[in-house]
Amino acid sequence: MAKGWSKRTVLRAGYGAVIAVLVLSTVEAYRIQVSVSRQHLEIYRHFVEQEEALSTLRRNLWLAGNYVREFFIQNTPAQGVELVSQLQRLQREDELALSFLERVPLHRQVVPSLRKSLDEFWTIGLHLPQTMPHAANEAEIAFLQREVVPRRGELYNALTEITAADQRMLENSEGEFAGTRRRAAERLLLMLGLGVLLSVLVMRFSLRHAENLEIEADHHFAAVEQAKQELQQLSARLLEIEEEGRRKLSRELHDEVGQTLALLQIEISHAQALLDGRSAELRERLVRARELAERTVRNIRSISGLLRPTLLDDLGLVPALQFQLEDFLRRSGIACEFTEDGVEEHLPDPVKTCVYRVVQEALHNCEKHSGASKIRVAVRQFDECLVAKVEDDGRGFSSTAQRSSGLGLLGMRERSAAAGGSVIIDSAPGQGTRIALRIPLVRSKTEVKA
Amino acid sequence: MSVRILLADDHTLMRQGLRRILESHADFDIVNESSSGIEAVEAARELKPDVAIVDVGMKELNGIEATAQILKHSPHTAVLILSMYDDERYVLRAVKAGARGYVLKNSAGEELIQAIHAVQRGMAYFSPAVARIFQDGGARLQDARDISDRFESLTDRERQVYQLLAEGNSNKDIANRLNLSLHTVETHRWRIMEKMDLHSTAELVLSAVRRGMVT
Repeated sequence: MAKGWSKRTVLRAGYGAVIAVLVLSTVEAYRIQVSVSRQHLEIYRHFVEQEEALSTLRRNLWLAGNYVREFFIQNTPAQGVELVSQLQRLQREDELALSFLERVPLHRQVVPSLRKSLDEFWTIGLHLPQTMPHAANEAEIAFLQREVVPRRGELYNALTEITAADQRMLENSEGEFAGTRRRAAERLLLMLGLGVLLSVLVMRFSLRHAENLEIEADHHFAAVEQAKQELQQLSARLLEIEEEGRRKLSRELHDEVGQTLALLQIEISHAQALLDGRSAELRERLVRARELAERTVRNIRSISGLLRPTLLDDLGLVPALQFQLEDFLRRSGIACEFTEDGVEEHLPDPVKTCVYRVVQEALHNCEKHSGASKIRVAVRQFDECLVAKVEDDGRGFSSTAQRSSGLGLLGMRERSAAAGGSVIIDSAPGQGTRIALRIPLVRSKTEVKA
Repeated sequence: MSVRILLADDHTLMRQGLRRILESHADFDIVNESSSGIEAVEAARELKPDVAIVDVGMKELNGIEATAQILKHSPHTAVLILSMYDDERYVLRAVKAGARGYVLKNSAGEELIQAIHAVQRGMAYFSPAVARIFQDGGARLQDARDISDRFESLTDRERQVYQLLAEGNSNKDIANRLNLSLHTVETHRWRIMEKMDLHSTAELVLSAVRRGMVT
């Protein structure tokens, strides 16, 4: 039992572990999914923001060039004010973009020079209304050529560099991201693999356990079956022994005690004859002695009949059944009808004993419980079997009552089983009782009568 | 001429008791004592006794079976069954087997000699106690194997002959009594047996006993 218990514990633990691994794997998968999305989003947003900053810088540079060109074209004080305010707006925007780029570690080196260059550019641009209020076209073009274009080129280069660096960074983080993802997938796979392995182990263990249980159950079943058979054999043997004992005792009583008493009667009659009318008193005594002997003989005969009627052995089943029924009729007053068809005198002893005893039990039950007014007994011999039926018109019983009150019925079943036959007991409350016994006959083994 | 008797009983004391009864009569000659049915059959085959006194309840081969076999080997032997049982089934079976008489052991002291004389003269003998049981039909079941009983089919003359036969008279006695020729009596007897489906004098006596015509 303790072994079974520990096995069950192991099984429980195994199932628990499998479920735990599955749950963990699911959680892990979810976690990986979430972290990957977040990382991905982060990288993307960062890139977008950087791109935005860089394009702001580029756009503003281009716009600034345009504004300067417009100022040169309409060189008025109003236009100068306009230019300053436009450039200041662009400068503020640039400042925001730069401060953003500055926060990116990758650009920390590039941004200061970019800022310096831009600051110089803005300084020049902002002072244009003062420095060149009415410059000639040539001077203006020269200024543009000298100041704006190279600076723009320079800025472009710096920006391109930054963009390239950004691109590289993006690629790097893509790689990193892929790595993380791969590692996560590997971990997940590992966990799933572990889960599968564990499942297989648990499965094998459960299967073996189930197999063992099955084998054990088979053993149990076989043992129970064998015990049942042994019990049946034992019961049959006990019945046999009991019957043999009864037979012996009956014979002994009848032959030894009975015959001796008969002999006693003979001797007394001898004495009576010798007495020849001499003493009336002595004659009287002898008559009484004889009566006593006679009564004793009768008692012995009825005891021996109860044990096992010699009729059964001497004359066969039918006379014995008739004798039994007559006795039953005298005792119970229940009307009996007996029919017999083709029953031979020399039946095997187990067969006739079984029929005799089953009928006896049926009559006993009928007398004791049924309240019947009539009983019918029929014995019929066929080629292969002998069938005996006992029917009464009594109050019957239900099949549940049969189980509780059924030692007699059980006895009938056991007896018939011992003789290789079977009994059908058919009854219902108010319906009377029908008992049918069937015993197969083995042709070759007809008994030689003693 | 003495009566040659075979005595078969497996109970030694009983056999001795019976022998003492028989020995008190000088005209009885006990030619064999057997202690089993088989021995008795063997002895009867060799000795062909006039009367065989056979115990019904012997081991190995019981008295009823032994009777049938004794008669097969020695048809002229008159078999007298000795029995502890007054059950009519034993009596019927014994008669079917061919026994001429049936004597209960406990009344053997008085009846045995009488019975031997009766069967030896060709008549039947049944202990009065057995006859009483046959008449007392109160607690009896109908038995398909009963000796058939068609008394009603007999003519008045046949009934007369039947009664006299049952009372133990010989054919000659009856011829004298009824003033008939022996041949006529024998014819009547044959017709009675045929009509009533009887096979022996013993069966005839038994049927009469059952009817209460003789005791």
